[in-house]
Amino acid sequence: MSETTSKGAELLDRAVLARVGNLPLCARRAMIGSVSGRHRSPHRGSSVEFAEYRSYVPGDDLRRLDWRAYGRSDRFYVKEFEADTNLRLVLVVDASGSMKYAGEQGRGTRTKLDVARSLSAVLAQIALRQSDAAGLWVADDADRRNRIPPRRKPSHLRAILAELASLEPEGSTSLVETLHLAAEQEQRRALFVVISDLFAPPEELKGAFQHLAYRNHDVAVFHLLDRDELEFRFDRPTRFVDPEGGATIVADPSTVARKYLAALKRYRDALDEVVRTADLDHHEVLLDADLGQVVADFLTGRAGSGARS
Amino acid sequence: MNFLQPWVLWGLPLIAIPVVIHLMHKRRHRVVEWGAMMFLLDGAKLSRGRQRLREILLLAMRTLAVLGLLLGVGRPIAGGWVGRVGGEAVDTIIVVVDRSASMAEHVQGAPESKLAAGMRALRGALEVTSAPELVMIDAVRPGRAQRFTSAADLSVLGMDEATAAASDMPAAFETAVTYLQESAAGRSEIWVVSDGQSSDWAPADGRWQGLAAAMNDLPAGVRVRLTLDQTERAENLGVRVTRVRRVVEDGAAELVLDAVVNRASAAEGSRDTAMRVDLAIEVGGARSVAELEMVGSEARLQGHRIPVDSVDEEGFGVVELVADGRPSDDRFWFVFGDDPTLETLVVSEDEDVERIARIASELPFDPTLRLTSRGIEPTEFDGATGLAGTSLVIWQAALPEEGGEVAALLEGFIGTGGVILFLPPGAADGAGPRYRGVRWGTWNEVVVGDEGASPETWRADDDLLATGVDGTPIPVGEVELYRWCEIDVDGSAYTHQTLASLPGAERLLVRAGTPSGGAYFLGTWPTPGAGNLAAQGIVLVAMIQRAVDLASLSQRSASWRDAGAVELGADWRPTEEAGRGALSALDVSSGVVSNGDQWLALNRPDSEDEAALHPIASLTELFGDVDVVTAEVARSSVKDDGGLLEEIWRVFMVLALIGVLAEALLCVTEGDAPPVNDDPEEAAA
Repeated sequence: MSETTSKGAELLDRAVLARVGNLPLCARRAMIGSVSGRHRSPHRGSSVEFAEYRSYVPGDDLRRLDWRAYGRSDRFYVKEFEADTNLRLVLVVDASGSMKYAGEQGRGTRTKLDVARSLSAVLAQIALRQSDAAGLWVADDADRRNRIPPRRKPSHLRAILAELASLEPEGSTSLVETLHLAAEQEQRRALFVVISDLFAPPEELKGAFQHLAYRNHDVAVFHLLDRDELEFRFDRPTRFVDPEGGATIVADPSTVARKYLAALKRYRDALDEVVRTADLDHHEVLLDADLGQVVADFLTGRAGSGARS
Repeated sequence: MNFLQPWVLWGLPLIAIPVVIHLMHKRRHRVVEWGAMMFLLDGAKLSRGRQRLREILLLAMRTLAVLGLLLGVGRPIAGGWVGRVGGEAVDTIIVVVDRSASMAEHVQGAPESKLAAGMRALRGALEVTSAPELVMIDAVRPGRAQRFTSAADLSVLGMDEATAAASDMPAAFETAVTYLQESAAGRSEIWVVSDGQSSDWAPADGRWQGLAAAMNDLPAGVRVRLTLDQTERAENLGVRVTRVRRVVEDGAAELVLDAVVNRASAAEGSRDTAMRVDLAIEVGGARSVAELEMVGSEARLQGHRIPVDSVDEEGFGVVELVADGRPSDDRFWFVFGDDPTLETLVVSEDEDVERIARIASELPFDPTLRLTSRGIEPTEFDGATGLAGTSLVIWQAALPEEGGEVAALLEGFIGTGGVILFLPPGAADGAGPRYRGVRWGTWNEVVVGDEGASPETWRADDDLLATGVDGTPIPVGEVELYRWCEIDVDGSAYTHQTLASLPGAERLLVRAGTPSGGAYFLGTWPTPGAGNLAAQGIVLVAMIQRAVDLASLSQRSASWRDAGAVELGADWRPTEEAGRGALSALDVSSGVVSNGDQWLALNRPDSEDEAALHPIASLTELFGDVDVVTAEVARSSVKDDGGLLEEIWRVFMVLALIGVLAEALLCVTEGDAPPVNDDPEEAAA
């Protein structure tokens, strides 16, 4: 591919792509696309998939009248078929300061943003490969909110990769605001893939995700976490600095671990509730996880629960 | 508050260790950019204030633990309110000061005497004590309790000066207990400064039992604090004149002087090394030196002749050793003059007894002594005049009633060095009075024609029946008795020594313990009807002559007397050459005093030369169940305050313990380890 030579081409992990193979990216909900594709559309069209009969009303195209049915029942019916359309993949990447965490108590090499970049690049590649449209929203500092609208052209991947490559994790998160804005601006149904550590109040996340669901968007979430964050295994007093410019805490892990883990559990319980109520396709991804497996699981899961199954 | 081991306080900067560790700990924090601050803040929000408080508390507890430990190891002592918090409030403190001659000793290397060290400790304790009532008892004059108001008064009262006298510690305690009983004092303490010399404490004295009981019975209770300096000198020499007499031969007068130099050495084997001792003798301003070769622990100067002015029939002098750490026994004063006449008073209800006893007592055994005797009937005994100038009393009559006037007179006689030989009254029936624990039993007689009873065992090594200096034994076994009186001994209050006994362990000659002089009880008469004492002669004469000789020691009043043992009238003054000390302390100081008519040399008592120190543990036993706190005076520190103050190290140790426990508690309650989840999948889920 010619894209691999451009900026950000290194984000396409060939091992992941090889692992995913030809697995399709499916939407769980019907999509409204501008061109026909492999995804279910809410519109009735002329494809081979029969949908239903309905009574004729004046104005209907007479070509769609089912004369055979008229002959059998002496009534006018119009035969409707499901239309297939293409998918609009909207990637929402969190590029706030907290995404610079690299695991191994701050000494790891792969940051959360690196993982987000890889996932985004692979998903964009898959979408464009199957002639779907892919776009990108970046949720970083509110002033630098960025958007690449979804397009189907294969060359669009270059723009997405370039944007991903240029991301720097800094500033406070604006994920919630970004999701609300995207929900408003993406008028047509789309598959939103949110890649973030979701370090925001669950109530606010709930509002944002419900907003997307209200707009009939299919929402999947890659929730990036590290084992340090889950287990808090620090063994000596540490100065914890908020990468998003907040407080600095010097804490003896032995004294705060219990409360930290309790707070984490409360958060995860609340997030589970959000996942249920907003019908999210939620995937928790550890920084040391095999991304190929993560993407494969994601695609397989969606294919299993997609409209054609 | 002072410290017994103040050098420990140099370690006080160590209390900064927890602070330093805390600061270092803070500085070596790892910095982590942590995205999940919302959970950390959530956890820390509640505990941050508490965390800070906990840190401060931890720091304080660790510092407290180190501080408490340091101060506790420094053995803090305190009086006043601090002492009361750590100890108990005291209403009356009675200070008993042992100013006996042995307390003047300077222990090797010490800049001050035992008394000075003890008094310094005492003053230091008094300065921080706020007992409402302070009372002082001088153990060399134990009969009087004197109130004082501050530590400085002790110097004014002369308590800093050691005397040449012996202390009577039981008597001092008797005075203290009497004072407490009469003043109905509240919680009291008796503070003692002494060296624990056995002769001063007289542990075998029967008075201790009564004292312990009396102290226990004090309603408010009493505690005894002993500050004892029992450091013994490595090497000490002491001199004592044993006899001095003036002889005139061919118109030239000379003093014939016997003296003995004793060596005390703690070092094993050092007594076996020979040493030369220079003994300076000063008489009438003329000084001469006698050289003695000492091997073992004793060197004797026998018959040393010193020319004196033939005109002066009386005079005084002193023998001196090179001063060592124990100055009290380096000099010995003496007065010479005409040899005294040693009189034996025979108080007898039987003429034969009187006659035989007088004959035996007048037989001259030392040509330099003039021996006389007189006899009276018991009814004629008038103690006040009858004992003046008497050395030996042979008392063949009923024993005096203890506590009565006669007994008091005889006690005074014994107390001045006199000797009494008691013989049984003719009407002894076992029901008579008891004197010094002895009562006459009933007479025993052998059947006419039978053999008399002969002594079966006797003490030939010491006392009246000892083998002579030339090795000739006294033929005690040849004595044969036909009548003898049982001697009933009650040893509960007095000590007794059986010198001779008849078959069946029946006592024949008993000596009762006396602080000076002697009291002997012979259970028979010297008359022919009672046995062959008079006919055999040697045993009787030897016994009486030795009793006279023993008594003659007291009659060397012309030569010297024990300091503290005589009461000097107001007209006595120290001689210009030999006097020392304040007028108020004349009777307890060594030196020569004069009342214009006669001289009197005062020296330390024999008992003060005894090096034996009674162990502290044994001293505390004297007080029975009374609370006794002991401390040895440590000389290494000028800040030491002995055991007179309350040691309050326990308070600090408790503080340290509280610090450690609180620190541990803080760590345990807040330091729960985070739950460990070994399964990453489960953790991720």
